[in-house]
Amino acid sequence: MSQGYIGKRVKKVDALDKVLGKPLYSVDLHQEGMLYLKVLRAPHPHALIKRVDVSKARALPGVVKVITEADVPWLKTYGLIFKDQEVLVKEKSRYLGDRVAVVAAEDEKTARQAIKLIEVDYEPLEIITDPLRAMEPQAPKIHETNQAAFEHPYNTGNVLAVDHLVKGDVEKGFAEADHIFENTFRTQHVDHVALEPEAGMAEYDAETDTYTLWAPCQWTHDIQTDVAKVLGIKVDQLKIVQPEAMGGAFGRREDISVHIILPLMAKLTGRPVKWVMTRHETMIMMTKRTPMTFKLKTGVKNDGSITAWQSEVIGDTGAYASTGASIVHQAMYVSTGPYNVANVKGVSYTVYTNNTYTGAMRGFGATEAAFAYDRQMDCIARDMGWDPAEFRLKNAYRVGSRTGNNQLLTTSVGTVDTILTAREHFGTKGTPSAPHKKRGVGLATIMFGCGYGEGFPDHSIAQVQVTDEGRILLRSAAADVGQGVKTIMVQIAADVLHLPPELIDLAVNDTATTKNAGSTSATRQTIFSGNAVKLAAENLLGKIYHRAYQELGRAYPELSLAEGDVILHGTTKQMTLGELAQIARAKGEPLAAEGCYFPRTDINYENAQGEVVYLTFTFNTQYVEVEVDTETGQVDVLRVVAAPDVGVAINPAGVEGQSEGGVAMGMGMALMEDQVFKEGITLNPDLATYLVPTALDVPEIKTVIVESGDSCGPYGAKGIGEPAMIPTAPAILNAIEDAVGIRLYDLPATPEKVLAALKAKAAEGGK
Amino acid sequence: MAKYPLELTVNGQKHSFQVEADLRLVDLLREKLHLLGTKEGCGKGECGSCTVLMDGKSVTSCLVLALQADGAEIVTVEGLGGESALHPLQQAFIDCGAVQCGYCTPGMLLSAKYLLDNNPRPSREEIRRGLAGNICRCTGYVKIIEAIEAVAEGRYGR
Repeated sequence: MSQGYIGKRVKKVDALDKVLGKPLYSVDLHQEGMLYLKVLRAPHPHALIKRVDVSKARALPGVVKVITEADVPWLKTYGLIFKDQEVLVKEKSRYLGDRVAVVAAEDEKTARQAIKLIEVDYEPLEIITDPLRAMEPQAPKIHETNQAAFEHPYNTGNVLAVDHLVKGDVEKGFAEADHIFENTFRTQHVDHVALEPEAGMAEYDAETDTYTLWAPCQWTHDIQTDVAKVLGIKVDQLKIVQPEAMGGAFGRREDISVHIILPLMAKLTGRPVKWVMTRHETMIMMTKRTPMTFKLKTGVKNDGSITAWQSEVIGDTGAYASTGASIVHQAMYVSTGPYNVANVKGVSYTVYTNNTYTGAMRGFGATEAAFAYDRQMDCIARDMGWDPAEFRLKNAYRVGSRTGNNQLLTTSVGTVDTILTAREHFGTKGTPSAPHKKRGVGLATIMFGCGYGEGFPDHSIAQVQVTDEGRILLRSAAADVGQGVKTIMVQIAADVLHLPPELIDLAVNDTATTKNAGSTSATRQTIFSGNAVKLAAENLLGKIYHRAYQELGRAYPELSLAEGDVILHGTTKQMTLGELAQIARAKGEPLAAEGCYFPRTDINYENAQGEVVYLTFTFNTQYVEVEVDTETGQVDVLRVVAAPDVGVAINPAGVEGQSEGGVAMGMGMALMEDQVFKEGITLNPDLATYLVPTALDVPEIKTVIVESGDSCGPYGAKGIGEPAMIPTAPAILNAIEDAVGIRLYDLPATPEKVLAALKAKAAEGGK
Repeated sequence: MAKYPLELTVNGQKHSFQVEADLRLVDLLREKLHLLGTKEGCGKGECGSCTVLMDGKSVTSCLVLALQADGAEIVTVEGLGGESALHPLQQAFIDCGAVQCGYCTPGMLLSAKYLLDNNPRPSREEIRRGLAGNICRCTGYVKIIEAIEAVAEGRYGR
């Protein structure tokens, strides 16, 4: 049981420094004599590069180095899963952000000027923007000159991956159904808009042939291996230092941005180098949420039970793979949501286009899928005359249910509780503020598998030690992107060791002194690094007790730890933890311990069936109330009630923070966010034209935490980061339908789309 | 490029410089005064991360030329309060859980200070309007609004 630091609204361990403006983000880093980098990016999304002339740029005073692919032909390709991305493009550009040349100069202004002096001749090719066009056999191959992209066995050209799921017999299921519902849903390109633009700094030490890179990473050790491969060096020649703070991530900092060019240019120039991208540049070149089309077919009996579900998912990964294929197949795997269906068949296609490449963003396919399945569930409920909540309750997972991947749910299944809790706290809808405004209520219920799952070797290692001063030094590579894993780890260590959190220090996070903690993604750090810290702290506690027994001559229960002292009860004998640590170190058995959490998952990729495909699931139901202006099509979200089942809340204030931020991000996806491409060109690469929710848009959000407990995470906890946002978009579109009776299938529900649907509905009614 | 004289007060300290005409206030603060708490997020006045106070008014320092601040008094997050004497807003942000990644925090704090300096008892709607120029992608604004409300209600001894 918890000793007192679990379940408490603990203040974030890094909040004090942050309100003082003290932490150094990557944009704040500086070294004497450093150079500044700028990159020339291809202005054509798909074009052959016929000639590059950098002579004028090289001649500009203040320019130290200009390179193109011809200067570094030995660089390997990179990518999170498939290594299909060139550091500098050789023969052709595949999207608007492709790099053609890099400039290092004495100052940023000179570097910018030099970029403009580089001359390139392009021969434009057909720009493929529609995945359906890309899938046609005669379509030009986006990666025909890139062998790496052809290693996947299913690849037939522009199709990166085809994945299947087969559970039961879907045809038999449809035959048993009394009603069949078929709908097609579409999601859009979304930018993460992490507030800190991509940036970093690197240096190279010629004597030791080693590199140091300071740049934000959701997974330092993975980026370290990818960068080392590209540069042709051993991993221990590259040290990555996580900056003290990171200005948001949301998935985009899983991918390489500045991480190869910086160490490369540090070596080529022999000087420290820094690179800060502009907002425009980050919006053009960095990953987006993967747009998907879901064709769903659902069979339902008269009693409301679902007999069959068929899903076809087409995902546009853009010009490069990144994690696109995994995102799209995960979307297909979870496309039945937290609802019982005995017979499921799914297929997904991940397709290359010349749009900006896509990658991980909060939900990793599950967000897109939930929009489709929870809209589908809502449409079915309305068409069959069910109350939307009752229809979900009728079909919701319970202990004993089997997921689409055929995983038996044995514990911590809070689906029903989240629906009942959210409904109870929501109450009823209010009265419209004007006659032309209509109010509606919508809900959505989702699930999210925590951890990578699917048999991927997923683990986290943490280390703790007692210092000579009697403080605890905690080492973990877990990336705190603002969500608060540092605080969670300190709470857990304090709890296990019976020490106040103020006695626990977090070591610098770098690849040389920390061990792999896996990524801050897949809503996994509370579970993985939380468990690793708990195990490490428990091992350390054992060592403390053992050493104290040897030094004081008494064993548990006469010994205890309190506020940093080892106390022997019934006597006046006691020593400080620091004294004990010094003795232990002198005797060659320092008070240091390690913990590793390394659970097993599995899947059969032939049919996507398995026993433990994901470790545990977070459930979340959100209720929203909207007001639709029938004259303008404007949708205002008036209030949201969220009821996430997080197993156990280690830090309830942190869970609320994630829930509120998730709702805001989900609102943006539902109503306004859309990175628009025309012929592969980003039309809105700034925050004046790409709109994210502001304080004026986000309504009152009430989060009621559901604790179903008994999960594999520490103290029974599950994660919250991604599932926090997943229900919001479908709940809002369900509420719009409730308000004005229009059925929207595409995101975002902009005023234009709402108004068009209202007009179409009026015209239909007039017939 | 020619340089021009510039005198200004930053967080109560007077400074004089010779600066180029195109130097922005955000660069002056960050690069010449090493006040790195002020963050740049977009360079176009769209995100509010670089908000500082200039003669008591909130400005996005990426849109202000350093020379426009000649003779001005600037307050950045570093001038708001020290570790041992936090500004009530800083304490409230910590207590209410209003800080996640922290990149928007300095700008948010200064927009909030400007709001409360001019409207000590704002309504929730007025707080929302006061923060409308500052994007936060992490928190959903809820706890930031709560923190400002807590200060406005006098819970931090104002």
